[in-house]
Amino acid sequence: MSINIKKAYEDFLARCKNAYVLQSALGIVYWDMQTKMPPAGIGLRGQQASLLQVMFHKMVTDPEQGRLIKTITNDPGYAGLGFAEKRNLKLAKKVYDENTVIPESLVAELATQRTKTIDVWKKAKAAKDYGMFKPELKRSIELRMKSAEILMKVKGTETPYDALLDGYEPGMSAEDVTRVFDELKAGLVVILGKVKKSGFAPDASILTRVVPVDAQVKISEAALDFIGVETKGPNAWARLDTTEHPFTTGYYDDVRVTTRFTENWWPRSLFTVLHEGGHAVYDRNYPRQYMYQPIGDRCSHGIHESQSRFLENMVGRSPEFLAYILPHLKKIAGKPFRGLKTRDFVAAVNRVASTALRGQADEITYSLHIIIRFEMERDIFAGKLTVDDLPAVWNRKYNDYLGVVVKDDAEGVMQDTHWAGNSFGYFPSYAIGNIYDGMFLRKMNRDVQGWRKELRRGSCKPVLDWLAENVQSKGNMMDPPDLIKDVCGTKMTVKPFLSYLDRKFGRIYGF
Amino acid sequence: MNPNLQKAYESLLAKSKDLAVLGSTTAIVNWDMETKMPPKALNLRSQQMAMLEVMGHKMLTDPQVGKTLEAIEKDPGCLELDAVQKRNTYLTRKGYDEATKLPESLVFETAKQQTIAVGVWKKAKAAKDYGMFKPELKKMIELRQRAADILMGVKCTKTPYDALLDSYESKMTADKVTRVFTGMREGLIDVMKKVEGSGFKPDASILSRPVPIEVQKKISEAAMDYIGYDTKGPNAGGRLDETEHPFTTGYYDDVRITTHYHEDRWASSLYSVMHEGGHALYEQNLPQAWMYQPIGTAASFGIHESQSRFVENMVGRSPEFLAYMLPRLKKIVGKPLRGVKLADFIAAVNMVEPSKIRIEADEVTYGLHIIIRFEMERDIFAGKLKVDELPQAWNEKYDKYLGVEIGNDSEGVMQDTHWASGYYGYFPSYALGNIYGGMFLKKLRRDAPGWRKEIRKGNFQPVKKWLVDNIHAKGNLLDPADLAKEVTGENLTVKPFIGYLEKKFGKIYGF
Repeated sequence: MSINIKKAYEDFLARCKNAYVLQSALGIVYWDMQTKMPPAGIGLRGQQASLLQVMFHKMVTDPEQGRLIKTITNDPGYAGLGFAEKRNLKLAKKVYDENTVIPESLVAELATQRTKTIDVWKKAKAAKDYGMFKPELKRSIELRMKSAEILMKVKGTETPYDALLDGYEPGMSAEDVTRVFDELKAGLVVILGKVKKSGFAPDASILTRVVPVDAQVKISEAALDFIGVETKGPNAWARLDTTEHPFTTGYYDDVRVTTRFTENWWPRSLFTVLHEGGHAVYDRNYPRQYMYQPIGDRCSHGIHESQSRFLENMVGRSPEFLAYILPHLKKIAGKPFRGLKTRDFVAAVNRVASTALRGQADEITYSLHIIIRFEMERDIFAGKLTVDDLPAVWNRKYNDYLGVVVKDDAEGVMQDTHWAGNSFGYFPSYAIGNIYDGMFLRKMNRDVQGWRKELRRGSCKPVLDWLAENVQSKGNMMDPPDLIKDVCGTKMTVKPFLSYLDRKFGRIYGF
Repeated sequence: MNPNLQKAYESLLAKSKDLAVLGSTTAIVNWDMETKMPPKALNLRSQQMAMLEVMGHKMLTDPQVGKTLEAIEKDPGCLELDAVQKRNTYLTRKGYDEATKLPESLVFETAKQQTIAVGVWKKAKAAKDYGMFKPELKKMIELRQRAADILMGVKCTKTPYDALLDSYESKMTADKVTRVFTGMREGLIDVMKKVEGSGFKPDASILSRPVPIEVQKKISEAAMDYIGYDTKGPNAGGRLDETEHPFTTGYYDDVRITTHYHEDRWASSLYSVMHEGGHALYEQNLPQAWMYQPIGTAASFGIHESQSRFVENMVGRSPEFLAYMLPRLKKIVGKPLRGVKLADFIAAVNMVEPSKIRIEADEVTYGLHIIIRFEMERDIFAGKLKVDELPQAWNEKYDKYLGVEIGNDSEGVMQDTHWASGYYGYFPSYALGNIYGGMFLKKLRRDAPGWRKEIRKGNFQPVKKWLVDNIHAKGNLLDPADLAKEVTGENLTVKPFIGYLEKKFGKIYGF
């Protein structure tokens, strides 16, 4: 590296570092708002969050950063840079280009509208009144459309919705998603048919027996410990707290998991903790030598979901883990679990039943909930679906895909916070995460043959090591399709996920 | 106001708002570090803190602020600004002039060193190893010395230490402090001798009877209830958490206190809650109309301490408060307080005894702990005392002023966090707070003669209202000496405080 380009690159990295440091501080401020803030503090907190957001925006759109990136990439010495350096520059350029192209006024409008829409959504959902929510949702979509149309040009995508998708899953288009989701849907329907035909109906009463919050806290702590999330002691890098809507936030050495405890539905907290803990492990295991650099970050939201869902489902709902944990549950919670047999426990936890709510879905039907949302988002931004039509379309799709009759819009089109929060393009990540997981699982089965046995014995280490080495430690060195190919040797395919489901549920339901 | 002046003043207020919002955000991140942060996150957090410091510094030193200030100051209409507008302009000018003289690198270095030095201090204190702490302390002092040398020029103070003092207590000088502390020392030693001469020795064993932490938490709640510090209601603006060293932080609608529970010293948490609660009430009751303005802050650290110490000592250790609380404490605590007589309880809580640890000191000897620290700080920054000599100087002074022998540096020179944090010039505030408290008490007696009776009845309102009307409602409209004069009609004088101690302890010790 020539002296000039070296100096410029260092300067560039220092600016990246500032942005990451600020972003992680902002993460703490949001976490505090959801978990610890006294209620009177909400107004002040709004001011604090928006000030830091504006500062962050200014940082990533600083013309000096644009100039540095240009100088380096145009320098004759650029070709001699290493892979990591080039990738850092590429990722930062993407962020810079995308952020500079959106007018600050639109950024501010989106932020203000977001707060307003979420607030109205909460009230409308409580009142089961879509009419109340509609005008704000409409305005949200209009603003998002505006930004998508601008982003579409910078990103070079074919449609505005593709530009939104790219924000969560770089390089993924609605066409790609439609293709894999169609295949996924067909496969899921077949498995669902087999489940129904089997005639077996697990007794799920164990799931709703009252388990006191104290005992659930102990179960959650044990679960986090099991997957290596350290919340106690001098080397702790994580925390567990409670919130209304569980989430994970963090960066390397400070990662925070939240959950929610419901006395008469204890599995919720266990599987939430495993899910969020999976996110936490990913945030913790980014390549440390690239901390504060664009490549020392997540690959995509879909990959992030793959990590959380792997620990929640592939591990947490596996017969081996459930067999291991049942005696511990009996010890911690006592009575509700007395006399419960492993086989019945496994069947109860893995009971398949179509529901109106995504949050209550099992591993098979979950993706159908996502497909419904994806198809609707795609059609909204293609101008084929208007805000007026959403409830009717939602309900029809729930009937067609899941055979569920939605009784009101609160448990229908208004059940999730994502659209109110203007996160259009996010939903596909969940199902894409499942698909990636199927692929990872197949590869892991080959690489680490004894992992299920180890799980049964109470060790998650082989699984955690495999995920860390193959996925997490690669940070954002590749776009998701390349990462998948690098890890699994093939392009994205739904087959492994479907065969995982077919095999697992075949055993439980006897088909 | 003419339109130009109006515009300039509005722009000044907008900047002040950003500064206040950023400052309150930094406070939250700092609170998190002290209360919730996983230990591994220390390094990342020091980066975040340093960045927020630098951003605040950048914001304040923005040349635009200088231009705005000049536009106001040079405008012919400037003389007609009202007292609030003039003070806002003055405070911004002061902050701007001071900050513009400090190099950003020094601000950054100091913020980073602060996190490092506090981290090392904790370890060194646990290991009783001053040698471990010394290099970090030395570096911290050097950094503050550099700042003091620069600030001295801007503030036009006689010495660098006066410049540090001025940051906590505007316009206060080491000469003035020396004078008033000399009077205080004589008065305190006189009271101490009378106490010793009385021959009475209270039985303080009640205070070391073990009280479980869960029970102590209920005592804390009763104390917060008493002073009206809300942490539970739907509009609560406060929180109580646990830290090694209790503190208060926050701004208007989000003000948080911490305490520390010791099983065998149950009164310690009660009084730290009263003390921090006193700080919190001050922050919460600053005039709402001045929120986000320079005058919407405390008058000084000394005035802040006067508020906390008033609630802790003048109220919390008064016979009337103790008479009201004892039956309630008996109900909460049960066995350990069974059969305790009021007179014995009052004597135990107010026992006078020279000790090694500042935060455990009684009302009489407390000031002597502060004088020791003040004299040492003053000498350090006058180049008369070296880091190598601190332990010895400390131990000698403790022997001379308090007649106690220091066994090791953890209970000696390393007992407080202030020097590790770079807060040189802060310590005098504590004793000044006592002195202001004495002056305020004298005035309160005249203005609200029935206040003690009301305290006895469990009614804190008259005291609170007096404090709010006379101190809190004035925010930072006046420098501390002027505020004390306006409220009490007197110049800074130690007499009322000494008179208060004479009378109170005379009754308890019978002299």
